[in-house]
Amino acid sequence: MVSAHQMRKLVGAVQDPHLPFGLDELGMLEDLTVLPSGAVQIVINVPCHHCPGLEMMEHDIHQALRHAGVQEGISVSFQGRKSWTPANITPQARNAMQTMGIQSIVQLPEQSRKSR
Amino acid sequence: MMQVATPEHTSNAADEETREQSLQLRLRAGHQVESEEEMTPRYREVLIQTMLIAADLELMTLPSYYGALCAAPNLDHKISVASAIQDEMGHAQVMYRMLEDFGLDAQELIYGRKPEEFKSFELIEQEVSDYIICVVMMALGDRAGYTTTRDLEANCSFAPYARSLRKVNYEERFHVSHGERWVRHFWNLSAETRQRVQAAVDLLFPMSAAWFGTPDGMKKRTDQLLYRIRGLTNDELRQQWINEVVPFCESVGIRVPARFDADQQRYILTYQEPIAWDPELRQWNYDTPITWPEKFAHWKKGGPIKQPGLTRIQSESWGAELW
Repeated sequence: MVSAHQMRKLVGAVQDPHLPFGLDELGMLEDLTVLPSGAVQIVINVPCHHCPGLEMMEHDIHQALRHAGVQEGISVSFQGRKSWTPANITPQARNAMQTMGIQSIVQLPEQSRKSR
Repeated sequence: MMQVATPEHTSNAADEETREQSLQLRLRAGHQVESEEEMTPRYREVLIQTMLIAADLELMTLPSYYGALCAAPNLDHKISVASAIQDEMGHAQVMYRMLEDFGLDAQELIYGRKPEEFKSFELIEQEVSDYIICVVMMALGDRAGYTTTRDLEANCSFAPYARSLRKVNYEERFHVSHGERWVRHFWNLSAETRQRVQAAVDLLFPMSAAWFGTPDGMKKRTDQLLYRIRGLTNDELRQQWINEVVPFCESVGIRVPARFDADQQRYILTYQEPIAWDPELRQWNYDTPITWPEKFAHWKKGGPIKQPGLTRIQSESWGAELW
């Protein structure tokens, strides 16, 4: 039996289809709940709605959990409760992205205005 | 007029030759060039030509995919095409901007040249008029481009260019995966969509294989390899593409003019270039070979979207039907 903790690690390690970083590092895994029936509900917070990579991501999440032995139902929602912001990315992933020429804004304009 | 060699000329020429030999030796030892000051005129010229062709190829994606953007059957597909075009324009921007470091003017390169002066390939001069052709283009054509840019990232001796390609390659990898996913989807959706996938592959497969240029035996200039601007030869790159694309097509069930050859222990094309496109039957004629000069003339003429597409970019006339 795969524990909720293990499932979270597995889903968090699934890479974004665009970048070689896990959903956890990118701050996109909002929630993973195992219902009493054993069904797994996952909420992914995406940077860009209607992103062409969503189905690929959903497929990879299913694959990761099925491969680990999860047999119950798996549902993936891309309707997070919070807005994803670049500030959700871990500092380690942000640094690695910078070396690849990918800039991520740490402070959103709204936050930087407030902090002035 | 013949120039008379003065001692000063002789000395300059000797210095140039020494710099040239020294650079080649350092490149062979794995040296990465970081700035223009380290380059010899020949190296600089080969690098600029390589980057300019790469930039032009990226730019051509816009007019080529334009039809698919307009005709995409739903919002998700429209966003997919728009996002792919945006990625490719980002790649073009990176490359044209780097060319500015060598004194070239990006604005002039894009808007000032005549369409026939752009150096693009037949594949990306095609009109990708619907979403199915677009995803086939991504699965075959983007994979060809990705094969080239991966080689450049791994091997290019001009370090700033190699570094700039890391993000480019992440995006190209995504386009290939996206294309393959939807090719498989449309292959299994209905007899009609399956037929359209096969027709697009029939058209685009030989053009994608030709992306890597003429066979190695025909190449007279190998400066790109001499200077390690790229690491693999035309045939090596083509073989890598065949090794990846043919098993994918076979796994879907798509027929391609290539197969695994047990004797050679590798995938091979089942035809030999140069082949001709029959515009009346709208198919490749594999049975009646043409000559290389005829093929070169065909390439030079440009595909159907080259002239009108680049004119459209330069006049910014996209029309009200865009959205």
